[in-house]
Amino acid sequence: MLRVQKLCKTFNTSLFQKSVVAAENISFDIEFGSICGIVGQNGAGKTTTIRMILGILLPDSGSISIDGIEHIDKTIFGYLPEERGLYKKSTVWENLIYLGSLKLKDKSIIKRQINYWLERFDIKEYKNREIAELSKGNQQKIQFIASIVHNPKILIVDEPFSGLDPLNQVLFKDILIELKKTGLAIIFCTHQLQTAEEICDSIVMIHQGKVSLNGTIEEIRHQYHSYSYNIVFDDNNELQDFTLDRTCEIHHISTNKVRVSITDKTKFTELLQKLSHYQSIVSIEKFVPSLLSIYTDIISSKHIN
Amino acid sequence: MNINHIFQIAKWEFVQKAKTKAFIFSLVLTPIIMSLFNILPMILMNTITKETKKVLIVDQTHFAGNALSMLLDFNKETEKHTIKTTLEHISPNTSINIKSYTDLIIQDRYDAFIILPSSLLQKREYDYYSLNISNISDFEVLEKSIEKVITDTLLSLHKISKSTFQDISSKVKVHTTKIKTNGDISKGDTLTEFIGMYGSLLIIIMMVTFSGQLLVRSLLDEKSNRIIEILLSSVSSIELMYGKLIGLGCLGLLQGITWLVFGLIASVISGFQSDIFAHIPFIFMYAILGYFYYASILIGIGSTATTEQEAQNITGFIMMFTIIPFLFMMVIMDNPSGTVAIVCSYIPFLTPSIMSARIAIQFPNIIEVIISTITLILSISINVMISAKIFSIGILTYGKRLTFKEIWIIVRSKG
Repeated sequence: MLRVQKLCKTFNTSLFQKSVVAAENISFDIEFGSICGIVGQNGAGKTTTIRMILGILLPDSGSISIDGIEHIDKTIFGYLPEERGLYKKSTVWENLIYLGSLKLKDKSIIKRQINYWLERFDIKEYKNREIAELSKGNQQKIQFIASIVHNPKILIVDEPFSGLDPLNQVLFKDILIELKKTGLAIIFCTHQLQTAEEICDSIVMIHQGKVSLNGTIEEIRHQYHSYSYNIVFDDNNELQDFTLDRTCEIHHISTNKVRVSITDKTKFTELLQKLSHYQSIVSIEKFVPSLLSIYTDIISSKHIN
Repeated sequence: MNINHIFQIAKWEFVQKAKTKAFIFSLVLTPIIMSLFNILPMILMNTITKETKKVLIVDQTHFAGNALSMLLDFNKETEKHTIKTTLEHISPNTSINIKSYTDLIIQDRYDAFIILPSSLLQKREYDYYSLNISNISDFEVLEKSIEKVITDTLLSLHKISKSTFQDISSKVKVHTTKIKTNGDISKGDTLTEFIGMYGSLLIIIMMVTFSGQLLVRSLLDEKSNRIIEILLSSVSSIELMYGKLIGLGCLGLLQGITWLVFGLIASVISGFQSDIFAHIPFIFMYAILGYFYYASILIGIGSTATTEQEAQNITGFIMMFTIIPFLFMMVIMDNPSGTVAIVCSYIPFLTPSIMSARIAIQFPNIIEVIISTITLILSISINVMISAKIFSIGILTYGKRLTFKEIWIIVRSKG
């Protein structure tokens, strides 16, 4: 398990004129064989956190450990940064061999891996082409291969789907899930909350340098809006007269649908009793909030606060 | 520190840069271009200036005009530089109307006119008018011819035979022999020493400049395409820095060795002999240390550059220091073991060039070689320590370049 504990990073006051707290007590755990999504606005502190995990930046305080061991070898990580970068004038093969050899001494393994992944991504014919000659999507595939060519134990991918066509997005998603199944811990940084919801086992939301949400998707859904119910009416007139006491919050979703939120689980029976007075109710179902709605709620409430 | 990482980075930097067309061309073309810069002007002077110059000689002496006209028209030295003269005698008392002669020049009837005044013998002065007064070769021919006319006239006046005059005025020739510190002697001359010294200086400066520029450009490229983050996720910033320094240093060395081979071939062809060839290992040692001295500064400051323009400014500023030794060259040639030479040998940014120059002229005391080498190595170590601090932060700054104040804060920081 990768454990990130109370990571703090403040960029020097005198150096950057004003003190910038990029990370404040960032803590979360990631199990091997799982995908953890790190979400947050631009400038929230995601990149700083990733850079600290990778050892590119040293944290002011806090620790990063793997199975309790704090001394982490960089070769354990694979990294696909948001800003893609390869040596444009060098060939695909040269790029991959060089970047792989910085992680792994045994070139025969690297070569075998490169050949496997080039085949897998169906770009073997570009092996001896210069990077500059490739399309953006193919460059991205090469970049991805560079991050996994040394068989890392932890893979950090920052916006891996940006610039990819839908087919390749599916391919990338499948490969991430496949890698997860082989036991990799994957940190998936993204703004695409729908995708995060689709493939992540857990989510860490960072807002203004702090973790504002952390847990599995189910835990998060329970934590937010877990006592909301969508109620569908057959009779629009009855819906117009629909009222409940102050303990319930009502949102009109459409002409025949409302969402009722109660403060806690104990109020549910009470709510059912009240609803029994309405003859035209055809369905009551628990509302499952999307990650996007939770994210929006958190961001807006933080802004209000 | 992982040596394998440093080796891999150094190998990458060396191989990727060495196989570029730009490097291969510079390797071969630079010595050729340098040679052409020296040879081409002479070739052009001897080939292009063959057209006949029309010169009007306005003679007030009544003795020099004819003789000069004959010399200029038939002088062997003017074989490739023909001058066709027209002679006009004027009484010494008559004032010369310059305007009328300048009009002739404007009308393109003559290229120039010369006034030989009646006082030519006494004052040894004459006037030359032309649209172009920068033609050095014309003046050389003119001066030699007029001096010959004056000399011949004076010899005849004083009734001295030409052979007697030649015996009196013939030049004394010196045969220089160099005594080496081990007591051996060898033939040599000032020109040979100068060429040897100049050549070694050029090799050092070009090696340092070329590799230094490549270093900063390589950093900027990796910063701008963000590959730096991938590299830093695999290696430490110190490993990256050392890898780059060593890789590009080897590239500079390859360049220096290639140029040296060119130099050796050229010296064999031209028959040029110099003691400098015996001291090449020392000159290369200073060249390598010189590269590391400047590169260890450039890699720190250069890592803060965010645009091509900034990178060029930084490189240009640092590289200015490499040409400062030229200011001291005449003093060092005059006295290679003098106070100025010794003091300059221990100023780190001057050491590589000054010591190489001294070695080319007269091999200094071995103690001086050892002390200057140790001084340089210590300076490089300090540079590396300071640059490492700047590099680890500068390499991750995008958009805005660090100011000198910010760099100073980084240097002073303990981390």
